[in-house]
Amino acid sequence: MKGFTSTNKRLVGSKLPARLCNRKLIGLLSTIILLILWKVISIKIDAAIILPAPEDVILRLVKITQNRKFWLAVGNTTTRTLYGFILSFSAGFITGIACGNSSRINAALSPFISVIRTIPVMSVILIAMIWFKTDIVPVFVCFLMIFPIITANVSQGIREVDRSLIEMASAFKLSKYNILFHITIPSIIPFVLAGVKAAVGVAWKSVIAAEVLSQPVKAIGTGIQFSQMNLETSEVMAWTVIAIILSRISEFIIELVINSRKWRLSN
Amino acid sequence: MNPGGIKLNDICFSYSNPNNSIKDGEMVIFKDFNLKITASKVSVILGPSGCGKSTLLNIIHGILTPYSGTVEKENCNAISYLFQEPRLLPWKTVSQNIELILKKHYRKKERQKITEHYLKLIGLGDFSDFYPSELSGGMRQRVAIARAFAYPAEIILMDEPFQALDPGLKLNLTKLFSTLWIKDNRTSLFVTHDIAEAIFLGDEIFVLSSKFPSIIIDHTINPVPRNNRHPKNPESLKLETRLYSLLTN
Repeated sequence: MKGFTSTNKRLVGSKLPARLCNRKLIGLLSTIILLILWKVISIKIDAAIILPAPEDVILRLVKITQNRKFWLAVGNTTTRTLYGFILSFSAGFITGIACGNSSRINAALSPFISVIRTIPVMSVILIAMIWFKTDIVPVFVCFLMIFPIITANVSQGIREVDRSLIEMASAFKLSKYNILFHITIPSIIPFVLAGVKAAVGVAWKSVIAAEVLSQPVKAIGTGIQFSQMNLETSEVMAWTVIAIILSRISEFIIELVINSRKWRLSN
Repeated sequence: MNPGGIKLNDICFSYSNPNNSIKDGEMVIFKDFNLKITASKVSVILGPSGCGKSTLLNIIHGILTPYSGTVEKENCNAISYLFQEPRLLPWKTVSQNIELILKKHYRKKERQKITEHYLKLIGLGDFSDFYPSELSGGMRQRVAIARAFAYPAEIILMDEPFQALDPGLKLNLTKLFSTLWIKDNRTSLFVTHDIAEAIFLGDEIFVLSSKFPSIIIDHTINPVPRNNRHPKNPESLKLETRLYSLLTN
Protein backbone atom coordinates (compact mmCIF):
# COMPACT_ATOMS: atom_id res chain seq x y z
CA MET A 1 0.00 0.00 0.00
CA LYS A 2 2.85 2.33 0.92
CA GLY A 3 4.48 1.68 -2.46
CA PHE A 4 1.20 2.10 -4.29
CA THR A 5 0.59 5.50 -2.70
CA SER A 6 4.04 6.83 -3.45
CA THR A 7 3.89 5.55 -7.08
CA ASN A 8 0.62 7.39 -7.54
CA LYS A 9 2.10 10.56 -6.13
CA ARG A 10 5.10 10.26 -8.41
CA LEU A 11 2.82 9.88 -11.45
CA VAL A 12 0.82 12.94 -10.50
CA GLY A 13 3.94 14.83 -9.49
CA SER A 14 5.81 14.20 -12.78
CA LYS A 15 3.54 16.60 -14.68
CA LEU A 16 3.70 19.34 -12.09
CA PRO A 17 7.27 20.69 -12.58
CA ALA A 18 6.67 20.96 -16.36
CA ARG A 19 3.50 22.96 -15.75
CA LEU A 20 5.24 25.19 -13.22
CA CYS A 21 8.14 25.78 -15.64
CA ASN A 22 5.65 26.70 -18.33
CA ARG A 23 3.90 29.18 -16.04
CA LYS A 24 7.19 30.74 -14.91
CA LEU A 25 8.29 31.10 -18.55
CA ILE A 26 5.03 32.86 -19.49
CA GLY A 27 5.44 35.17 -16.48
CA LEU A 28 9.02 35.99 -17.47
CA LEU A 29 8.01 36.65 -21.07
CA SER A 30 5.18 39.01 -20.09
CA THR A 31 7.60 40.91 -17.77
CA ILE A 32 10.10 41.33 -20.61
CA ILE A 33 7.31 42.56 -22.94
CA LEU A 34 6.17 45.05 -20.28
CA LEU A 35 9.73 46.38 -19.82
CA ILE A 36 10.17 46.75 -23.60
CA LEU A 37 6.84 48.61 -23.83
CA TRP A 38 7.88 50.85 -20.93
CA LYS A 39 11.20 51.61 -22.65
CA VAL A 40 9.49 52.34 -25.99
CA ILE A 41 6.92 54.69 -24.41
CA SER A 42 9.62 56.49 -22.38
CA ILE A 43 11.64 57.10 -25.59
CA LYS A 44 8.49 58.31 -27.33
CA ILE A 45 7.55 60.72 -24.50
CA ASP A 46 11.17 61.74 -23.99
CA ALA A 47 10.57 63.39 -20.62
CA ALA A 48 12.11 61.66 -17.58
CA ILE A 49 9.93 63.73 -15.29
CA ILE A 50 6.79 62.05 -16.72
CA LEU A 51 8.08 58.56 -17.48
CA PRO A 52 11.72 57.72 -16.78
CA ALA A 53 13.33 54.81 -18.64
CA PRO A 54 13.39 51.46 -16.82
CA GLU A 55 17.21 51.47 -16.56
CA ASP A 56 17.07 54.91 -14.87
CA VAL A 57 14.71 53.51 -12.26
CA ILE A 58 17.00 50.51 -11.72
CA LEU A 59 20.06 52.78 -11.37
CA ARG A 60 18.20 54.99 -8.89
CA LEU A 61 17.10 51.89 -7.00
CA VAL A 62 20.71 50.73 -6.69
CA LYS A 63 21.74 54.22 -5.60
CA ILE A 64 19.15 54.59 -2.85
CA THR A 65 19.84 51.12 -1.48
CA GLN A 66 23.46 52.20 -0.87
CA ASN A 67 22.26 54.81 1.61
CA ARG A 68 21.99 53.78 5.28
CA LYS A 69 18.82 55.85 5.61
CA PHE A 70 17.13 53.63 3.03
CA TRP A 71 17.52 50.55 5.23
CA LEU A 72 16.20 52.50 8.22
CA ALA A 73 13.16 53.50 6.15
CA VAL A 74 12.57 49.88 5.06
CA GLY A 75 13.00 48.73 8.67
CA ASN A 76 10.55 51.32 10.00
CA THR A 77 7.90 50.60 7.37
CA THR A 78 8.29 46.83 7.86
CA THR A 79 7.97 47.24 11.64
CA ARG A 80 4.81 49.35 11.25
CA THR A 81 3.30 46.83 8.83
CA LEU A 82 4.13 43.99 11.23
CA TYR A 83 2.64 45.84 14.22
CA GLY A 84 -0.52 46.71 12.31
CA PHE A 85 -0.80 43.20 10.93
CA ILE A 86 -0.24 41.38 14.23
CA LEU A 87 -2.66 43.65 16.13
CA SER A 88 -5.32 43.38 13.44
CA PHE A 89 -4.83 39.63 13.06
CA SER A 90 -5.21 39.06 16.82
CA ALA A 91 -8.31 41.27 17.08
CA GLY A 92 -9.79 39.89 13.83
CA PHE A 93 -9.16 36.29 14.92
CA ILE A 94 -10.93 36.72 18.27
CA THR A 95 -13.80 38.71 16.71
CA GLY A 96 -14.10 36.13 13.90
CA ILE A 97 -14.35 33.27 16.41
CA ALA A 98 -17.03 35.17 18.36
CA CYS A 99 -18.99 36.03 15.18
CA GLY A 100 -18.70 32.46 13.83
CA ASN A 101 -19.93 30.91 17.06
CA SER A 102 -22.74 33.29 17.86
CA SER A 103 -25.25 34.61 15.35
CA ARG A 104 -26.19 37.36 17.85
CA ILE A 105 -22.62 38.70 18.12
CA ASN A 106 -22.38 38.44 14.32
CA ALA A 107 -25.58 40.44 13.91
CA ALA A 108 -24.38 43.03 16.43
CA LEU A 109 -20.93 43.52 14.87
CA SER A 110 -21.68 43.15 11.16
CA PRO A 111 -22.85 46.81 10.67
CA PHE A 112 -19.54 48.08 12.13
CA ILE A 113 -17.49 45.65 10.06
CA SER A 114 -19.40 46.70 6.89
CA VAL A 115 -18.67 50.37 7.64
CA ILE A 116 -14.96 49.65 8.19
CA ARG A 117 -14.87 47.64 4.95
CA THR A 118 -16.38 50.42 2.85
CA ILE A 119 -14.75 53.47 4.44
CA PRO A 120 -12.24 55.09 2.00
CA VAL A 121 -8.56 54.62 2.96
CA MET A 122 -7.91 58.35 2.56
CA SER A 123 -10.66 59.22 5.08
CA VAL A 124 -9.17 56.78 7.59
CA ILE A 125 -5.69 58.28 7.10
CA LEU A 126 -6.91 61.86 7.47
CA ILE A 127 -8.97 61.07 10.58
CA ALA A 128 -6.07 59.10 12.06
CA MET A 129 -3.75 62.06 11.46
CA ILE A 130 -6.03 64.16 13.67
CA TRP A 131 -6.14 61.51 16.40
CA PHE A 132 -2.63 60.01 16.51
CA LYS A 133 1.08 60.82 16.26
CA THR A 134 2.58 60.41 12.76
CA ASP A 135 4.31 57.12 13.73
CA ILE A 136 1.04 55.54 14.87
CA VAL A 137 -1.10 56.61 11.88
CA PRO A 138 0.18 53.88 9.46
CA VAL A 139 -0.23 51.19 12.15
CA PHE A 140 -3.80 52.29 12.86
CA VAL A 141 -4.70 52.46 9.15
CA CYS A 142 -3.21 49.01 8.53
CA PHE A 143 -5.14 47.66 11.55
CA LEU A 144 -8.44 49.03 10.30
CA MET A 145 -7.98 47.99 6.67
CA ILE A 146 -7.25 44.31 7.30
CA PHE A 147 -9.46 43.77 10.36
CA PRO A 148 -12.63 43.04 8.29
CA ILE A 149 -10.74 40.62 6.00
CA ILE A 150 -9.43 38.50 8.89
CA THR A 151 -12.74 38.65 10.80
CA ALA A 152 -14.78 37.58 7.77
CA ASN A 153 -12.46 34.68 6.94
CA VAL A 154 -12.22 33.37 10.50
CA SER A 155 -15.98 33.57 11.11
CA GLN A 156 -16.67 31.80 7.81
CA GLY A 157 -14.13 29.14 8.81
CA ILE A 158 -15.91 28.60 12.13
CA ARG A 159 -19.26 28.21 10.35
CA GLU A 160 -17.73 25.63 7.97
CA VAL A 161 -16.27 23.37 10.70
CA ASP A 162 -17.36 19.80 9.94
CA ARG A 163 -20.25 19.12 12.37
CA SER A 164 -19.68 15.37 12.11
CA LEU A 165 -16.20 15.79 13.64
CA ILE A 166 -17.64 17.82 16.52
CA GLU A 167 -20.26 15.08 17.01
CA MET A 168 -17.47 12.47 17.08
CA ALA A 169 -15.57 14.53 19.66
CA SER A 170 -18.68 14.88 21.81
CA ALA A 171 -19.40 11.15 21.54
CA PHE A 172 -15.92 10.45 22.93
CA LYS A 173 -16.44 13.16 25.60
CA LEU A 174 -13.54 15.35 24.46
CA SER A 175 -13.17 18.50 26.54
CA LYS A 176 -14.08 21.93 25.11
CA TYR A 177 -10.37 22.83 25.23
CA ASN A 178 -9.45 19.77 23.13
CA ILE A 179 -12.28 20.42 20.67
CA LEU A 180 -11.09 24.02 20.22
CA PHE A 181 -7.39 23.22 19.79
CA HIS A 182 -7.62 19.90 17.95
CA ILE A 183 -10.72 20.39 15.77
CA THR A 184 -11.93 23.99 15.49
CA ILE A 185 -8.61 25.80 15.05
CA PRO A 186 -7.09 23.26 12.59
CA SER A 187 -10.38 23.37 10.61
CA ILE A 188 -10.22 27.12 10.16
CA ILE A 189 -6.52 27.26 9.19
CA PRO A 190 -7.24 27.21 5.40
CA PHE A 191 -9.65 30.14 5.85
CA VAL A 192 -7.16 32.02 8.06
CA LEU A 193 -4.34 31.51 5.55
CA ALA A 194 -6.57 32.70 2.69
CA GLY A 195 -7.41 35.78 4.79
CA VAL A 196 -3.75 36.41 5.61
CA LYS A 197 -2.81 36.07 1.92
CA ALA A 198 -5.49 38.60 0.94
CA ALA A 199 -4.59 40.93 3.84
CA VAL A 200 -0.83 41.08 3.45
CA GLY A 201 -0.89 43.13 0.23
CA VAL A 202 -3.51 45.47 1.71
CA ALA A 203 -1.31 45.89 4.82
CA TRP A 204 1.72 47.12 2.83
CA LYS A 205 -0.43 49.37 0.62
CA SER A 206 -2.26 50.98 3.54
CA VAL A 207 0.89 51.52 5.63
CA ILE A 208 2.74 53.18 2.72
CA ALA A 209 -0.29 55.29 1.78
CA ALA A 210 -0.58 56.47 5.39
CA GLU A 211 3.14 57.22 5.49
CA VAL A 212 2.86 59.35 2.33
CA LEU A 213 0.34 61.59 4.07
CA SER A 214 1.46 61.47 7.69
CA GLN A 215 5.20 61.76 6.92
CA PRO A 216 6.82 59.85 9.78
CA VAL A 217 10.62 60.11 10.00
CA LYS A 218 12.41 57.64 7.68
CA ALA A 219 9.74 55.56 5.98
CA ILE A 220 9.09 54.25 2.45
CA GLY A 221 5.99 56.45 2.13
CA THR A 222 7.94 59.49 3.30
CA GLY A 223 10.63 58.67 0.70
CA ILE A 224 7.99 58.49 -2.05
CA GLN A 225 6.44 61.80 -0.98
CA PHE A 226 9.84 63.52 -0.71
CA SER A 227 10.89 62.32 -4.18
CA GLN A 228 7.54 63.41 -5.67
CA MET A 229 7.92 66.89 -4.19
CA ASN A 230 11.37 67.14 -5.82
CA LEU A 231 9.90 65.86 -9.11
CA GLU A 232 12.25 62.86 -9.00
CA THR A 233 9.91 60.48 -10.85
CA SER A 234 12.57 57.76 -11.19
CA GLU A 235 13.05 57.81 -7.41
CA VAL A 236 9.29 57.61 -6.80
CA MET A 237 9.26 54.54 -9.04
CA ALA A 238 12.35 53.08 -7.33
CA TRP A 239 10.62 53.35 -3.92
CA THR A 240 7.50 51.79 -5.47
CA VAL A 241 9.55 48.85 -6.77
CA ILE A 242 10.89 48.35 -3.23
CA ALA A 243 7.34 48.34 -1.84
CA ILE A 244 6.33 45.76 -4.45
CA ILE A 245 9.36 43.58 -3.61
CA LEU A 246 8.57 43.67 0.13
CA SER A 247 4.92 42.81 -0.49
CA ARG A 248 5.88 39.94 -2.82
CA ILE A 249 8.38 38.55 -0.28
CA SER A 250 5.69 38.42 2.43
CA GLU A 251 3.20 36.84 -0.01
CA PHE A 252 5.86 34.30 -1.00
CA ILE A 253 6.42 33.32 2.67
CA ILE A 254 2.67 32.83 3.15
CA GLU A 255 2.44 30.76 -0.04
CA LEU A 256 5.29 28.59 1.26
CA VAL A 257 3.27 27.89 4.40
CA ILE A 258 0.10 27.17 2.38
CA ASN A 259 1.92 24.80 0.02
CA SER A 260 4.02 23.02 2.65
CA ARG A 261 3.96 19.24 2.29
CA LYS A 262 2.53 18.52 5.74
CA TRP A 263 -0.26 20.98 5.15
CA ARG A 264 -1.23 19.52 1.78
CA LEU A 265 -1.19 15.96 3.14
CA SER A 266 -3.41 16.74 6.08
CA ASN A 267 -6.05 18.37 3.88
CA MET B 1 -13.61 -3.64 32.49
CA ASN B 2 -16.84 -5.23 33.63
CA PRO B 3 -19.43 -4.44 30.98
CA GLY B 4 -23.05 -4.18 31.97
CA GLY B 5 -26.32 -4.27 30.12
CA ILE B 6 -28.58 -1.47 28.93
CA LYS B 7 -32.24 -1.04 29.81
CA LEU B 8 -34.62 1.39 28.16
CA ASN B 9 -37.80 1.94 30.16
CA ASP B 10 -40.92 3.57 28.63
CA ILE B 11 -38.95 5.90 26.37
CA CYS B 12 -40.92 8.67 24.59
CA PHE B 13 -39.16 10.79 22.00
CA SER B 14 -40.04 13.18 19.21
CA TYR B 15 -37.75 15.50 17.23
CA SER B 16 -40.26 18.29 16.74
CA ASN B 17 -41.05 18.88 20.39
CA PRO B 18 -38.36 17.30 22.52
CA ASN B 19 -38.91 19.30 25.70
CA ASN B 20 -42.64 19.00 26.08
CA SER B 21 -45.23 16.30 26.16
CA ILE B 22 -46.57 14.79 22.94
CA LYS B 23 -49.19 16.85 21.17
CA ASP B 24 -51.86 15.62 18.76
CA GLY B 25 -50.71 15.05 15.18
CA GLU B 26 -47.01 15.16 16.06
CA MET B 27 -44.68 12.49 14.65
CA VAL B 28 -43.55 10.44 17.60
CA ILE B 29 -40.45 8.32 17.05
CA PHE B 30 -40.72 6.30 20.26
CA LYS B 31 -43.71 5.92 22.59
CA ASP B 32 -43.39 3.88 25.77
CA PHE B 33 -40.50 2.05 24.15
CA ASN B 34 -38.79 -0.71 26.13
CA LEU B 35 -35.60 -2.60 25.32
CA LYS B 36 -33.16 -4.76 27.28
CA ILE B 37 -29.65 -5.19 25.90
CA THR B 38 -27.76 -8.13 27.42
CA ALA B 39 -24.31 -7.47 28.88
CA SER B 40 -21.23 -8.82 27.07
CA LYS B 41 -23.16 -9.62 23.89
CA VAL B 42 -23.45 -8.05 20.47
CA SER B 43 -27.05 -6.97 20.03
CA VAL B 44 -28.30 -5.85 16.67
CA ILE B 45 -31.17 -3.49 15.95
CA LEU B 46 -32.37 -4.36 12.48
CA GLY B 47 -34.76 -2.16 10.61
CA PRO B 48 -35.37 -0.26 7.38
CA SER B 49 -33.71 3.12 6.78
CA GLY B 50 -35.37 5.99 8.65
CA CYS B 51 -37.06 3.87 11.32
CA GLY B 52 -35.27 5.55 14.24
CA LYS B 53 -32.25 3.26 14.66
CA SER B 54 -29.67 6.07 14.89
CA THR B 55 -32.03 8.06 17.14
CA LEU B 56 -32.13 5.08 19.47
CA LEU B 57 -28.31 4.98 19.63
CA ASN B 58 -28.17 8.71 20.35
CA ILE B 59 -30.72 8.32 23.15
CA ILE B 60 -28.68 5.49 24.69
CA HIS B 61 -25.48 7.54 24.41
CA GLY B 62 -27.10 10.60 25.92
CA ILE B 63 -26.65 12.86 22.88
CA LEU B 64 -30.48 13.03 22.67
CA THR B 65 -32.68 13.19 25.74
CA PRO B 66 -36.07 11.47 25.77
CA TYR B 67 -38.82 13.57 27.29
CA SER B 68 -40.02 10.68 29.35
CA GLY B 69 -38.66 7.29 30.35
CA THR B 70 -35.27 6.23 31.59
CA VAL B 71 -32.09 4.72 30.18
CA GLU B 72 -30.21 2.47 32.61
CA LYS B 73 -26.60 1.58 31.86
CA GLU B 74 -25.08 -0.84 34.38
CA ASN B 75 -21.37 -0.51 35.28
CA CYS B 76 -20.90 2.06 32.57
CA ASN B 77 -18.37 4.89 32.85
CA ALA B 78 -17.89 5.55 29.15
CA ILE B 79 -19.46 4.71 25.81
CA SER B 80 -17.58 4.23 22.58
CA TYR B 81 -19.03 5.03 19.17
CA LEU B 82 -18.42 3.71 15.68
CA PHE B 83 -20.02 5.92 13.03
CA GLN B 84 -21.16 5.28 9.45
CA GLU B 85 -18.10 7.20 8.24
CA PRO B 86 -14.63 6.97 9.84
CA ARG B 87 -14.77 10.61 11.09
CA LEU B 88 -10.99 10.86 11.43
CA LEU B 89 -9.34 14.26 11.78
CA PRO B 90 -7.59 14.88 8.43
CA TRP B 91 -4.82 17.00 10.00
CA LYS B 92 -3.79 14.28 12.45
CA THR B 93 -1.94 11.06 11.73
CA VAL B 94 -3.54 7.68 12.34
CA SER B 95 -1.92 7.32 15.79
CA GLN B 96 -2.68 10.94 16.76
CA ASN B 97 -6.35 10.33 15.88
CA ILE B 98 -6.54 7.44 18.33
CA GLU B 99 -4.41 9.09 21.02
CA LEU B 100 -6.59 12.20 21.06
CA ILE B 101 -9.66 10.38 22.38
CA LEU B 102 -7.55 8.66 25.06
CA LYS B 103 -6.16 11.96 26.42
CA LYS B 104 -8.66 12.21 29.23
CA HIS B 105 -8.05 8.66 30.40
CA TYR B 106 -4.34 7.83 30.11
CA ARG B 107 -0.86 9.36 30.36
CA LYS B 108 1.14 9.86 27.17
CA LYS B 109 3.16 6.62 27.39
CA GLU B 110 0.07 4.53 28.08
CA ARG B 111 -1.77 6.22 25.20
CA GLN B 112 1.05 5.40 22.82
CA LYS B 113 1.15 1.78 24.01
CA ILE B 114 -2.62 1.29 23.62
CA THR B 115 -2.63 2.94 20.18
CA GLU B 116 0.27 0.81 18.98
CA HIS B 117 -1.44 -2.34 20.32
CA TYR B 118 -4.73 -1.70 18.51
CA LEU B 119 -3.05 -0.59 15.28
CA LYS B 120 -1.13 -3.87 15.27
CA LEU B 121 -4.35 -5.80 15.90
CA ILE B 122 -6.04 -4.23 12.87
CA GLY B 123 -2.94 -4.77 10.72
CA LEU B 124 -2.03 -1.10 10.35
CA GLY B 125 1.00 -1.04 12.63
CA ASP B 126 3.19 0.35 9.83
CA PHE B 127 0.74 3.15 9.04
CA SER B 128 0.71 4.98 12.36
CA ASP B 129 2.37 8.08 10.89
CA PHE B 130 0.15 8.22 7.81
CA TYR B 131 -2.53 10.84 7.37
CA PRO B 132 -6.12 9.65 6.67
CA SER B 133 -5.87 11.12 3.14
CA GLU B 134 -3.04 8.66 2.43
CA LEU B 135 -5.21 5.64 3.33
CA SER B 136 -7.94 3.81 1.42
CA GLY B 137 -11.58 4.00 2.60
CA GLY B 138 -11.37 0.52 4.12
CA MET B 139 -8.15 1.33 5.99
CA ARG B 140 -9.72 4.49 7.40
CA GLN B 141 -12.71 2.53 8.70
CA ARG B 142 -10.28 0.03 10.27
CA VAL B 143 -8.64 2.93 12.11
CA ALA B 144 -12.12 4.02 13.28
CA ILE B 145 -12.73 0.47 14.58
CA ALA B 146 -9.37 0.55 16.40
CA ARG B 147 -10.30 3.93 17.90
CA ALA B 148 -13.67 2.58 19.10
CA PHE B 149 -11.99 -0.40 20.81
CA ALA B 150 -9.04 1.58 22.19
CA TYR B 151 -11.44 3.89 24.04
CA PRO B 152 -11.87 2.56 27.59
CA ALA B 153 -15.63 2.10 27.34
CA GLU B 154 -17.81 -0.67 28.68
CA ILE B 155 -20.33 -0.20 25.86
CA ILE B 156 -19.74 0.18 22.12
CA LEU B 157 -22.47 1.70 19.95
CA MET B 158 -22.25 1.21 16.17
CA ASP B 159 -24.27 3.14 13.63
CA GLU B 160 -24.14 1.14 10.37
CA PRO B 161 -20.33 1.38 10.23
CA PHE B 162 -19.95 -0.88 7.18
CA GLN B 163 -22.83 0.50 5.14
CA ALA B 164 -20.82 2.40 2.49
CA LEU B 165 -18.26 -0.36 1.80
CA ASP B 166 -18.07 -2.92 -0.99
CA PRO B 167 -19.12 -6.52 -0.07
CA GLY B 168 -15.55 -7.90 0.22
CA LEU B 169 -14.39 -5.09 2.44
CA LYS B 170 -17.58 -5.30 4.49
CA LEU B 171 -16.92 -9.00 5.18
CA ASN B 172 -13.28 -8.31 6.14
CA LEU B 173 -14.25 -5.54 8.52
CA THR B 174 -17.08 -7.47 10.16
CA LYS B 175 -14.56 -10.31 10.73
CA LEU B 176 -12.09 -7.79 12.16
CA PHE B 177 -14.78 -6.48 14.48
CA SER B 178 -15.52 -10.02 15.70
CA THR B 179 -11.81 -10.69 16.29
CA LEU B 180 -11.46 -7.55 18.42
CA TRP B 181 -14.77 -8.08 20.21
CA ILE B 182 -13.92 -11.64 21.32
CA LYS B 183 -10.92 -10.28 23.29
CA ASP B 184 -13.01 -8.49 25.93
CA ASN B 185 -16.69 -9.17 25.11
CA ARG B 186 -17.87 -5.58 25.56
CA THR B 187 -21.60 -4.90 25.48
CA SER B 188 -22.17 -3.82 21.89
CA LEU B 189 -25.19 -2.43 20.16
CA PHE B 190 -25.12 -2.43 16.39
CA VAL B 191 -27.76 -0.86 14.17
CA THR B 192 -28.09 -1.91 10.56
CA HIS B 193 -30.54 -2.56 7.76
CA ASP B 194 -28.36 -5.37 6.38
CA ILE B 195 -29.71 -8.83 7.33
CA ALA B 196 -26.45 -10.69 6.51
CA GLU B 197 -24.45 -8.32 8.71
CA ALA B 198 -26.97 -8.72 11.54
CA ILE B 199 -26.74 -12.53 11.39
CA PHE B 200 -22.93 -12.52 11.16
CA LEU B 201 -22.36 -10.16 14.09
CA GLY B 202 -25.42 -10.32 16.32
CA ASP B 203 -25.89 -12.63 19.29
CA GLU B 204 -29.34 -11.11 19.72
CA ILE B 205 -31.33 -9.49 16.94
CA PHE B 206 -34.17 -7.00 17.51
CA VAL B 207 -36.31 -6.03 14.53
CA LEU B 208 -37.70 -2.50 14.58
CA SER B 209 -40.98 -1.62 12.90
CA SER B 210 -40.96 0.60 9.82
CA LYS B 211 -43.81 2.80 11.06
CA PHE B 212 -43.71 5.38 13.84
CA PRO B 213 -43.88 5.19 16.75
CA SER B 214 -41.25 2.46 16.43
CA ILE B 215 -41.74 -0.80 18.27
CA ILE B 216 -39.75 -4.01 18.51
CA ILE B 217 -41.61 -6.48 16.27
CA ASP B 218 -39.24 -9.39 16.81
CA HIS B 219 -36.50 -10.52 19.18
CA THR B 220 -34.33 -13.47 18.14
CA ILE B 221 -31.36 -15.09 19.83
CA ASN B 222 -28.89 -16.13 17.13
CA PRO B 223 -28.77 -19.95 17.32
CA VAL B 224 -25.43 -20.14 15.48
CA PRO B 225 -22.27 -19.81 17.60
CA ARG B 226 -19.97 -16.93 16.60
CA ASN B 227 -17.20 -19.17 15.22
CA ASN B 228 -19.62 -21.05 12.97
CA ARG B 229 -21.35 -18.11 11.32
CA HIS B 230 -21.09 -18.11 7.54
CA PRO B 231 -23.62 -17.40 4.77
CA LYS B 232 -24.16 -21.08 3.88
CA ASN B 233 -24.90 -22.34 7.38
CA PRO B 234 -28.47 -23.83 7.22
CA GLU B 235 -29.47 -22.22 10.55
CA SER B 236 -28.25 -18.84 9.34
CA LEU B 237 -30.15 -19.28 6.07
CA LYS B 238 -33.34 -20.11 7.99
CA LEU B 239 -32.87 -17.04 10.18
CA GLU B 240 -32.17 -14.89 7.11
CA THR B 241 -35.42 -16.00 5.46
CA ARG B 242 -37.39 -15.24 8.62
CA LEU B 243 -35.82 -11.81 9.08
CA TYR B 244 -36.32 -11.02 5.39
CA SER B 245 -40.04 -11.79 5.58
CA LEU B 246 -40.33 -9.69 8.76
CA LEU B 247 -38.70 -6.70 7.10
CA THR B 248 -40.62 -6.97 3.83
CA ASN B 249 -44.02 -7.44 5.45
